[in-house]
Amino acid sequence: MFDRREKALRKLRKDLRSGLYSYLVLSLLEKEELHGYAIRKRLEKLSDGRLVPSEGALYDILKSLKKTGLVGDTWAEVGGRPRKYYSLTKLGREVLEELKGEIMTIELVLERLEGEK
Amino acid sequence: MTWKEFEVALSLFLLFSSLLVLAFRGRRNPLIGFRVGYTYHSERVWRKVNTFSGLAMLAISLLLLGIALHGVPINVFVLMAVALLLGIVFAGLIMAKREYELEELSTEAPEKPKGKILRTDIKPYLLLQLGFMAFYLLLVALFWDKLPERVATHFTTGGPDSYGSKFWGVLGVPVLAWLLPFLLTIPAKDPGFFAKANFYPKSLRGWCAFTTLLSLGLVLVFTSALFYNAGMASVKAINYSAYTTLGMVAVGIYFLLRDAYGGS
Repeated sequence: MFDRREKALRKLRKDLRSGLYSYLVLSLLEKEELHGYAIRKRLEKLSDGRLVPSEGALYDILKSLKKTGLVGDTWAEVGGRPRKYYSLTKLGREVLEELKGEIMTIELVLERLEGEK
Repeated sequence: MTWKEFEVALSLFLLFSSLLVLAFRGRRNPLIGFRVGYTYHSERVWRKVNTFSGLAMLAISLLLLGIALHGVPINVFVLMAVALLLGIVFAGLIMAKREYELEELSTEAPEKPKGKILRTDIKPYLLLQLGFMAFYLLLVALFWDKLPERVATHFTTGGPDSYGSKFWGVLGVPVLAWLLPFLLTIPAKDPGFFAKANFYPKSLRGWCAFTTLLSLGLVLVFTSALFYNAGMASVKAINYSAYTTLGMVAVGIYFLLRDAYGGS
């Protein structure tokens, strides 16, 4: 029983977070260009360490966002080593604006659900 | 030396090289190992990719040695060796890029880009090289009917010393040879590809200029061979085009060296 609960929780958490992380990354990049490490640190700080994607998960998210043309990247030489920085593209900004509306709808629905209880 | 001896010697050379790669898998250096920017700038990535490529090369060299001793035609042997080695290079590059970028996400860096931005637009160089090949293919189409069924495919200063089928000699070999500088240009779009070390292109523009000049030189040689096979040029034309190509390669090397010593 416990295993099934954990399994279901893990699956739903994964489903929920995969989209959420993409949205949060786009939101972080809306204001400024950031290094991948800084993206993780910002998420860690904003969520008090509760919403921090692993390196592998963030790598896949950034790769997917780049593939869909929402995020672009630039290399800069820091201390003799190439470092990669990510920024939002024009398309990324447009998509983020659309998503913001949908997030607000989700928030509204959740608030109403809470109100019904 | 017989072809069989050559195949065995090549297999042993690869075997020796793989042992060398494995021996240096723990020591980053600009001369021995899988040396791209991704591996050179990270000890962890260097070790991982060089262990993989060293072991893969070891397996391939033993396989090729077995095939060589068993006896296969030289063409089959060379094609197999090239395909397998390219496979290692391709897999190694993918592994190196992924591992380096993963490491990027866990290694502290300034939040915003502060250093020199590394960016090269390779499109003009690729378009130029495509233009060279398009020009050559146009000439092939124009003179196709004038070409004999067996064409000269290799020349010494005195004349041709090797012949092959029209399709392979006029299209197959030239296109494959042209692909080499073309494919070597593509990594320059990724500034993480080249190591910031001695013996490496300091500017990606210099590298692109080098590969584009090489591409032009190759197309020049193949064009003169096409004219020769169509009966429109003497062997002297091929000699001159070969010398011109060597000159172009020298100019390309000059661009690389100029960049290495602080040029733009």
